[in-house]
Amino acid sequence: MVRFRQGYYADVRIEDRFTTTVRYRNGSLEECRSSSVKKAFIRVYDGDMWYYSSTDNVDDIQGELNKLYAVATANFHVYGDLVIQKLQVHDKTRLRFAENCVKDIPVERKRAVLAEHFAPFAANEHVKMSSALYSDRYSLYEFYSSKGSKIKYDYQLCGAVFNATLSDGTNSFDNRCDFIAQNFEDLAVTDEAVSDMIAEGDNFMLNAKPVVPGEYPVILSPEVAGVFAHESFGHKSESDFMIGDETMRKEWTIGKAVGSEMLSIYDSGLVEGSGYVPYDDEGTLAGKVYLIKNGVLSGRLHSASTAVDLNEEVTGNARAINCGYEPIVRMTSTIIEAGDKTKEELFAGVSHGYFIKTYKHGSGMSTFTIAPALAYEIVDGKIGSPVKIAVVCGNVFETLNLIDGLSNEVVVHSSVTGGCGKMEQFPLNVAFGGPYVSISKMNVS
Amino acid sequence: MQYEKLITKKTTRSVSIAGSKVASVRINNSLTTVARAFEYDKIGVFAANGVCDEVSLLDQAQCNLKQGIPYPCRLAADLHRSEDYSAPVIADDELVERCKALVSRLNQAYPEYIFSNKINTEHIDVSYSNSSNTSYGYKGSNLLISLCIKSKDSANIMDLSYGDYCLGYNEDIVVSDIGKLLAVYKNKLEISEDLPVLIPASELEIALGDVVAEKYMSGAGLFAGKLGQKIFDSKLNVEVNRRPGNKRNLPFFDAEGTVLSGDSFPVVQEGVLCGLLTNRRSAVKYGLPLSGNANAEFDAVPSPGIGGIRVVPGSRALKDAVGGKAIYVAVTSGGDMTPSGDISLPVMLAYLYEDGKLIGTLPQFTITGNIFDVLGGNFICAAENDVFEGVDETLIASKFTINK
Repeated sequence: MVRFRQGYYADVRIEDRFTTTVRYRNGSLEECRSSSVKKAFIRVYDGDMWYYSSTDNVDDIQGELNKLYAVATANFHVYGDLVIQKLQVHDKTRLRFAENCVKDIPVERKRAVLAEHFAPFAANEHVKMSSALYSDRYSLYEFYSSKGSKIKYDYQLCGAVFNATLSDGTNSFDNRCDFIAQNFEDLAVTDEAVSDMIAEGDNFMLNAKPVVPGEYPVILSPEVAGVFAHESFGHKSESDFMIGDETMRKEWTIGKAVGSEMLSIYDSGLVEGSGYVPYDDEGTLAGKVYLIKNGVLSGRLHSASTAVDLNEEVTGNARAINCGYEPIVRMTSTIIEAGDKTKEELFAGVSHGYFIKTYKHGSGMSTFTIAPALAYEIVDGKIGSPVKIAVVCGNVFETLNLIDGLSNEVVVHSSVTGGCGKMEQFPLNVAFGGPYVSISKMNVS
Repeated sequence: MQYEKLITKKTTRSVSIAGSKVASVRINNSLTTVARAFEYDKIGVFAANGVCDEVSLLDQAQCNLKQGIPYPCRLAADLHRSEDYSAPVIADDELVERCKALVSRLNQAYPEYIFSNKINTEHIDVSYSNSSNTSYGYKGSNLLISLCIKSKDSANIMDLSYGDYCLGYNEDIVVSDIGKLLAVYKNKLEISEDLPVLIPASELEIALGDVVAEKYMSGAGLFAGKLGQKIFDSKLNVEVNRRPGNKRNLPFFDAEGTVLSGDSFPVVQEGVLCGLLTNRRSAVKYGLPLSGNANAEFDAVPSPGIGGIRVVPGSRALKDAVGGKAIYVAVTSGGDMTPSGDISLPVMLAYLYEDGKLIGTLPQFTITGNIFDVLGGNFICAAENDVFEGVDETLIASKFTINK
């Protein structure tokens, strides 16, 4: 396909991305489009620096590659470089969605996924604005390297998101629900689920009371627990933050106790959903990496470069949001493993606290934050009144040690809108999940 | 049938810094052409990446009219303008060496710290034309300095950040500005809860969704029914800024060719909510003026965004308006606002500020306050950041509740 030149390492990643977006507002069609965009990202390494080029001229990848060769410096020992040695070689085609591709579904059927479920909005007088979004994506990836990799694989996800803006003239609230599947035929939207979302939002809008800022016991839903895992510990496990940093290496020694003994968190690109990434953007095969196992630091996420820096192995986590960017260390599906309590047992242990059911966004540094959407008071082990909470936050390490209960069922949450942001690269498709998680103390405001 | 066409050429050079070393350089070249066809108040859109046949593109857009998407036409007629701000801040072929020189100086000057992240240059060339004999062109260049800074004895992912979009580059200023952050970074001070708080105006963008016309006109949202009313302090002014040569490289026209009178649009004037964010569809639907906020990603139907909105700095210098000590918020994480307007913003790093200078760092805390108080009764001023020479940003000074 391309002629690689001696004296350099090089790879070429090509993505042919098909997307559909259908959007209605108040029942009126505002958007209906299907696009195919094919781009390539080319990397050259000379043992000192990486040189990258992103191009939409996929007919002249060789020309772009040659331009990078021209600015890099030939190094005939580059294949002895430890970074290049870490890069895996695979010759594999793994097309899982070509037979059920969303490209082949007529757009009328995609519109119907939304239009058949507008009735619940009309049934509630407080719905002032409604919106419905259908989104799908089919990506065909190709990866070729000068070490001999030839990989072809695909990715697919589709989903529908319904949003209700509610107001009674004094109070207002936005609530939403989403439906996600990897194959269009599995997308199961129901009037009942849309009605339930509107009713719950209406109740929240009418009855939510302000919270008194302070520290309280908190139970996170599986969806929010997943965000918690992603924000609190997932980002800290991305090893590019440790490059050239002795303090971080000492602080993050494998085997160190970092959380409650009941806590295990892993990241894997093999989980079905929006975090499915069978090969990363350096051609590394996905695996399952325990970040925390029984409360002990067990692993971290790597690209080839960070794996060399920390003398560890690649993990399949070098990812870019698209062919406009270079791969950096990112999560895939980040999941807290189940515990041994029922959900009811978990709630029974809280006399007064808060239940965070859904979220708007999260972020993570030394302190992580989650901005809840739906949140409820917990009184004597029962879910009580809705409450308005702007942010729950906590110090990562303190909070990981304050986990005092996990329910026995894990739910993995995928998304067709949004994703993870890191520096300039947003949004990246990831997934997260976990069981219900009880934390004895979090900062609520 | 009528039509409009938007062509965007963008070239980006992005230098990546990792572990206080220039690690890579990335070149992005993109060319996007979008055609939109209008007939009987319907829109059809088609776009292509790379070199394309514009006649064929228009045919495809016309074909997409069959989707039946309602959209008003109302194209501007017989207008022509072009602006050229394309002089590069740093020449493309010098960027890597200039970055290496900067990183080298930072390593020498501040050996206790690790520097990472990005320095980017961007050149854009955008042209808009339509079937009513209107054509606009804009060329612009800017530089983005976005540095993460970490103390070598810290176990945090990052401790500080420095940078901004800028239209000029002076290595001495960057080194000096970072020195202002680091010279007092390890001077740990106690927090005084009654001091005013200085936060970047961009932190309050969480409230902007509620001034988008569709949300406002639905009767929901924080500002429902308050258009034309004085809801904030008289010193607060917010506008859409599309003046050419702005640091964000925004063209003077939006994605559907709207040009504002004076290249700006008032949203809040002397505390009065006086404008909503619109595109052509919402402006026509609700009988509102165009605010120049049409956004359109690739082949999307235009929708209203929040591009170009800014809090206008007052004429008084920050140090004079504050008149003493204040809490300077340097790094935040994931704040938000309840439907009632209660803001909560976790602060990872704050400095004690006095007379235009940073004098030491404060323990972590969270600030809370209601948006109508923060920009109303508790509002002190909006002013240009007077700490750094190389950062062109507006700070808001107001009273918040400090939660340790």
